[in-house]
Amino acid sequence: MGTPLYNTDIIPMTSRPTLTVMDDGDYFVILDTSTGKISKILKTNIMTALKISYDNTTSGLTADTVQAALDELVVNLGSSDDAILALSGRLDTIEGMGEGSVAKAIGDAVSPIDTRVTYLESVSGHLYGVRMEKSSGICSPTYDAVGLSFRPQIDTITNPSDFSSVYPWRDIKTVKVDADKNILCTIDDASFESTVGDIMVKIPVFWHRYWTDASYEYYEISDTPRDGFFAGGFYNPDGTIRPYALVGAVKTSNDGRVPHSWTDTPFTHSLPLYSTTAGFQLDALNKSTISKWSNIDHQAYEMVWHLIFVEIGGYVISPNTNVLGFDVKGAIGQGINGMSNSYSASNVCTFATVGANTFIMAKTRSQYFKVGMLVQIGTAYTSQNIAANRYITDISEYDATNDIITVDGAVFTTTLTSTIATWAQPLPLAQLMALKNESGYVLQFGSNNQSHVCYRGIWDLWGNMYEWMSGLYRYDLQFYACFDWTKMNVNDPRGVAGWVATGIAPDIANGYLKTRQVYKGALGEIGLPSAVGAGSATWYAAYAYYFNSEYMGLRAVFCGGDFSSGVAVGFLWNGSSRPARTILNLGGRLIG
Amino acid sequence: MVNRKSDNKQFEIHGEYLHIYDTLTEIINDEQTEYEGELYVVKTDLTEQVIENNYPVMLSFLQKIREQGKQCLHTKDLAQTYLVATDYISNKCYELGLSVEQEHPNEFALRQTARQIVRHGWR
Repeated sequence: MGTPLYNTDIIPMTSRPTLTVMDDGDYFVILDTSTGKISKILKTNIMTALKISYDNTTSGLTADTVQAALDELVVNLGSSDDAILALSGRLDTIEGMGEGSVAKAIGDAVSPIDTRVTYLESVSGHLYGVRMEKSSGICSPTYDAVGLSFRPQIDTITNPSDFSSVYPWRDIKTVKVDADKNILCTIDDASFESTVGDIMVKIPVFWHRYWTDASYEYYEISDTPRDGFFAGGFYNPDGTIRPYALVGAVKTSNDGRVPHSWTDTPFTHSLPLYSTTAGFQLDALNKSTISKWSNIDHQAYEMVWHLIFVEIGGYVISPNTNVLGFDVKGAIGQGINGMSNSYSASNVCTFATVGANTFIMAKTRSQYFKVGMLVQIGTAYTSQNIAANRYITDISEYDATNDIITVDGAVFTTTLTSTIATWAQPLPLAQLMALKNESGYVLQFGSNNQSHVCYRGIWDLWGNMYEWMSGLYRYDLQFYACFDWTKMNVNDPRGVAGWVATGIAPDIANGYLKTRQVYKGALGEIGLPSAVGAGSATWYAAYAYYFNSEYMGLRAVFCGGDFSSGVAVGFLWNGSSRPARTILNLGGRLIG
Repeated sequence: MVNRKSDNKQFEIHGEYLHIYDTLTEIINDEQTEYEGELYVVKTDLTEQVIENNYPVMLSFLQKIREQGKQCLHTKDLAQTYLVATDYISNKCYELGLSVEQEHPNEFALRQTARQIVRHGWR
């Protein structure tokens, strides 16, 4: 066996110092000299493949040694180069993109599935909703609105509402249009401010539904047509559906007969106006006969408020723990509703002025006025017959107990019976540009409830000035509705073509609106006042006035609230007035 | 938050929810008499009679909880949440070697009441 290869005498750390390893040809021999025992280990590394047996029972090869098996495989594949080439060809099939590739095969299989999914999504679309529990007023989002957060913007746009990224809210856009409703530019265009045109908010078509059951009231918005849903606010008089609706960005700035809601050119402020002649409602209805423009009607109103209700339906106002109702004042902004002190018979002149553009009054009253406010000076606080539509440019001390207020424009004369008053306030262009199509307010006059409020580019839907709601009359309590604005101009809706008797005739005390009931017509639905008993921040969080038997005969509806309405503003409805009523806090909003 | 309404009820049960108002102030608005006050809304399963018995305590709890920026969703958690919201008082007094009873008698009494409610429930 020759010389020992290893001896544990020279292998350290062993516990068996008597082992000796020797080479014995095909074997290593291990001799334990302490016991005399010999062990043998086969040297497999020197065994030829020919000598190693091969079990061919599962492979199907005929070989019974490793050598023979390899030879048999090489014969099957050809040379090793051939084998590599064959394998790389298979790799091309796996990794490639062309005809016959795995990728193409998968692509071909997935493509029709993709098409099908796209089709199904287009059919099913998206559904955003909110439901309000009748018993508690608590609101909660439903369907695709779950998980989306509304965020109001204050002074500037910071973190937009989640709804700004989903249709239809995403595509609501402030535009300028000509008298034929052609869109000239959008608020995102550099030319927006210099373009002469009427400022409207373009709302893309969507389908909506308002319904109730014993426990809840539901508002739902769909981006595709669905059974039971209407495109209310988007129907033409012939029943076809427009791709978008135009809603005035601000209150109407003229008598409603011509399609303009913003008359300054170049403009800096909008000027909300009321009709001093026949009444805005009638002027607007006269205009509606040209079938191109109208005053806001109940369908446009419902459509816009669906957008609002669904968007704020999950917004918890601090410090509440629930959404207590559709409190737009708390969620978006108060709107101009707190100017009752500057609209008062108490704001009289204390020192007469001649040939000046100043007004001197007691400090106890001047405290309610701020630089930048639009004021009216007249022989009463409801009159502007001395100086109309003037901006306050300065307020300074006149003496220990009086201040002197300076306004812009031509000089005038005041007497001790002259009065200065704020009516509805114009919207500065800078505010419109600051919030664009988000929602919130830009603080002015240092007070939230003296600031304009914006819902997605539509300003002052609540507060500042009431607006008539066309197409909805009451006669002896019962509501009558018209869904075609070319037929809204009637003196009496009873039995007139285009008008329907709703069968709904609430007789309810004044109070904060708690629940509505739905009237469904052929081209839309209307939620009509049903019960009061809510609060300024709960349920509908706004007032319902005069839907009762004290106001019989023909009555129209106006909505929103004005500059001195206080916290009653919001989704406010008033059913007291005859259509021809003329009053300084009552105007309208153009739609097209 | 402030809520204005047409009646002067200090608390109302609407379905599963209890509305509790802080001092209601009378407001004359457009010839309508209204009432305005801070509103607290919590879920409840208590009867009107039990709420009637405990209304001032509930309001005190809710005021303090809101003042401390904490929230309580249900009347069953009201007393415990009040204790949590006022723990800082006893901790601070202990740290300064002061008597809670002498320094904050109102909270001291309310915390005792709260413990009773935690143990025995609203009655």
